[in-house]
Amino acid sequence: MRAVSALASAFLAVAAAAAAPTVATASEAAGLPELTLESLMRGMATSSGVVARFHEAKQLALLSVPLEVRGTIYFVPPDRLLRVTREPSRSRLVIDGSRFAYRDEAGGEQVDLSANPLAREFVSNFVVLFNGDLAGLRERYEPALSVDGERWKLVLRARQRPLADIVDRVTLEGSGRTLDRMEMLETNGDRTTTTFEDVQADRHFSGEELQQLFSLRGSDSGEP
Amino acid sequence: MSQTAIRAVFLATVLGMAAYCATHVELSTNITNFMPERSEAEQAVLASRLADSQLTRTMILTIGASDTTQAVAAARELAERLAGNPEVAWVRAGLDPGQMENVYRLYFPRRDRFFSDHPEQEIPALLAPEALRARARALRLQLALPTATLTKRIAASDPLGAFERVIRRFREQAPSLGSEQGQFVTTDGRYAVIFLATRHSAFDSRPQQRLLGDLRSAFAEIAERRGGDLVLETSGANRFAVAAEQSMRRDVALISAVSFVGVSLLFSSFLRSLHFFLLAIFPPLTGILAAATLTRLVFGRLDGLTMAFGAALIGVAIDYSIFVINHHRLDPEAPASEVVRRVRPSLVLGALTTIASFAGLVFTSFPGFREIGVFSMAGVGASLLVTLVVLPGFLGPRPRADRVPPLARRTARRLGDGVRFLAARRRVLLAAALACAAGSALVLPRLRFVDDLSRLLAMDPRLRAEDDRVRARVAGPEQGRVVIALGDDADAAIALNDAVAERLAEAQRRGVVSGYRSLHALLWSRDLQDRNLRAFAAVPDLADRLETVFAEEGFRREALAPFRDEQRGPAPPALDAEALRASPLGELLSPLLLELGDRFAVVTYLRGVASPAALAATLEGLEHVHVFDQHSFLNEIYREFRVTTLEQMAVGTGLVLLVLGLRYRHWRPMLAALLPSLLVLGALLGIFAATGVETNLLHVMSLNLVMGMGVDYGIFMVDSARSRRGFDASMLSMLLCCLTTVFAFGTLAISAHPALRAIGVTTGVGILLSLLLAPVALLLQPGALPDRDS
Repeated sequence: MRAVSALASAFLAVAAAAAAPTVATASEAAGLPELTLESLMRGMATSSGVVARFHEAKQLALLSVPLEVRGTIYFVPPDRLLRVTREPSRSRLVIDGSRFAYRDEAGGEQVDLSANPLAREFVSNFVVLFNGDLAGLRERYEPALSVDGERWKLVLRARQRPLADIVDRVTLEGSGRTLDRMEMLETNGDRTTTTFEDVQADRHFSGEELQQLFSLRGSDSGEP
Repeated sequence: MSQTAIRAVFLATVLGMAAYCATHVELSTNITNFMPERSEAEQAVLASRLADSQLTRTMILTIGASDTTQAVAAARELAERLAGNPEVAWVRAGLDPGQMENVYRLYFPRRDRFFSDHPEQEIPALLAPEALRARARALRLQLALPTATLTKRIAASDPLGAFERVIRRFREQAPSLGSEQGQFVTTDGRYAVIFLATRHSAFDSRPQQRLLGDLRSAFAEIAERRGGDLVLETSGANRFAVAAEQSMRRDVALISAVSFVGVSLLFSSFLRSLHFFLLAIFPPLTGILAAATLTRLVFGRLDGLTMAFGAALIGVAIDYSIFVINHHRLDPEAPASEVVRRVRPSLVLGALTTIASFAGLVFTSFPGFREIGVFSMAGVGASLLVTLVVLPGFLGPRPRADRVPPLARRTARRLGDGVRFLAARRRVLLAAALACAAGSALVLPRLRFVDDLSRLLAMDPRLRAEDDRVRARVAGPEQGRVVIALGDDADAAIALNDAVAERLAEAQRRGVVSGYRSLHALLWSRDLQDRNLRAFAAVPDLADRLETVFAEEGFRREALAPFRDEQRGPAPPALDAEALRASPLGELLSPLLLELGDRFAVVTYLRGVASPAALAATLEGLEHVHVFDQHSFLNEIYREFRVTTLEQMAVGTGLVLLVLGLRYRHWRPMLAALLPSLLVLGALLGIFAATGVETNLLHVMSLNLVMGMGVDYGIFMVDSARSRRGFDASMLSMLLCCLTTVFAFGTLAISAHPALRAIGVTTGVGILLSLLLAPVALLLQPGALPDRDS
């Protein structure tokens, strides 16, 4: 295992988790009777913001029982994200453009993603999911959208290394305008399934809220 | 021997010495030559290495702007420009993305070797069931974090978190800076930060001047093109060195001009020819050449400081040739050889007393001082020899009476008359001597010695303030304050540093220091690494124990197989200094582990020392560990130099008395010759005391020079009074010698630099006083003075 790959994949996991509510926002914003990949991406680009509670179940090769994580996610297009967890421990992750700040009960640190080309590349791979850049998405992934009545499923397979070395596929599933499930399957078999509830699509954040939420040196709670 | 033969021998000798010096003499300043003992010599090497280490070669640049993005963009562009500068060894403007990979490659296989500072206690404790359970829970929580992807990929091999510990130590050593788009920024985000190291020493002013010029012009061009309010501020020892050099160069140009004009006027006015000036300086120049040759032969080296100090002897040695030339010009009746015969006893005695005054240096414990002593004695002796043997051959045929310069004749006569006037009024001389001695004695208790020579550095306060601002922004280490751990080999020094690091960690917890940069983050002694492995090996059922507890906490046993496999496998080799140096992380080692001759020093750089006393107490009991304050150390060395110089002046004075006694064989002329210089010594120190001048090493060394010349004047006065002719010429010679010295050295008093001023004031005032007080010698000289010169 290469250390840099491992470090970068940490960012990958973070960013993957971030992508999910964006899709929800997109599908809602799009509001089209016939959902296509183009309409989905167009909807993402026009979203004003999303807040959602999430429940993450991690099935890891290391653990005999899934690890459960609960928290809230905030997203403001095109590239601002806050992920707050409350269980099993408190943590706060902020991505603001190329800057990345993370804090848990052991402390925190601010990382500049642009300092590490590999990490930057990994995050870019996932930012492209929710910033509406369809060309960028196709360059990096093989997307496959299937629609069955109200239900839709978008499967993304990475085209390029080193992402492809770590992630086998990312599957986003929704119903109508709502994304309710995301699954990331890693090449080693680890699987992270995230479900979303209480999705507030097209949420408008005030300047004060944005400042409080996305401050890289913000409070532990991360609540607006 | 004919004059032609003398010239031929002289020329051959000079050419031979010049060839030898050109091929064998390399001036180098090795401060260890000026240390009396081995331990201090090591510290001196350390001081020297720190003075020219990565620490002093590193510059910090900050670029401020109202908009951080603008500052970051400008910094990135400036860094790219600087990276191509031939004087720049490296530029760091952001984190090195490859470093983490290198750390992983080097340390992950050896992570168990770097587990604990107290392996015998900590490892068994951590392997107890409850501690393992706590670790399993903590690891499980980590797997829930966004960083889980990293954690889970190494957790199977490293469930105990050994590599995390290594990473934490590395992070603690990193500068406390943020990063913006890959560019270092200050933690408040207001300034972009660039570090760079220079190829040459910070004190090598020429390349540094070029670099600073390039830096200024590159930034000016960037700022102009980008617009906005970009502000560049810098920190680095090279800025001070260049500023001091430029300022000193201006000073030296002015002083040289004044000196040249003064000496030219002097020789033109009194001797009517600059030709005589050239004749006057060639004996001392030959003396320096001879001294350099002899010193190199005796010691096998020639230190730059020896050369610098010895060259100052030109001020003493030129007196001999001036004396001969002046007598020659003022005595048209006598051929040069007769003139030389007449003044020879005085000159020989003067030279012998000077040699005697430097002989004391040969007996000091400082190798460098011994070198100076030999150099000075050889230089003075050779100068005298050339003056007496070679110079007359260049003085040409006997001058005609009408070519005697009238100003010289008049001045000589007036000086002679003046001294005869004083000699007839011994009470005046006595009153002057007593007043001088009493006045000096009265104020001498107020004399203050200061050994902090850094106070003599004329630092530009604007540069200093800018330097302070920049350093405060990046919280860099304090210049020159370090802890050193000495060992006979690298591993011994590293082992000692293990103990130092532990004490410093405690000191940091107690707030004694705010931080430190230690080799301990990178390298532990082989013994400590092996002890860690032994502590793990002492638990034979380690893998079983760990798997059982971790399984109870929700981990799969089989997933931890890599850990079990590695426990069974062969241990990786210890990481030593050589292996670290050869790795991609090797450059991190160079400022932290130094070779000091046959020993090694591990250097820990301190930040924010709140209490030096508390720090010393923290490290108490660790042998061969020193808190090294470069500033204090150098001050202590300067103090020793000063004391040694004063002691050798006392020894030298005794030897001078001995020489005078052997020559005169009577106490009266013996004391008479010495008295003026003693009065001058007291008067100068009295003046320093009365005017509040803080006396330092430079004053004391200049006093030594003044004493040497003062004794010569006393001898000239005594001998002239005892001779039948040439008294007036001797008086004029003394005046010319005095004024030449004043122009050559005294003009340093107009320098803006306190260090040069100290030398100039002491030499200038001292030599003038030596001339004025020379007639006091007549107090002890019975009998009438000779009549006017015919």
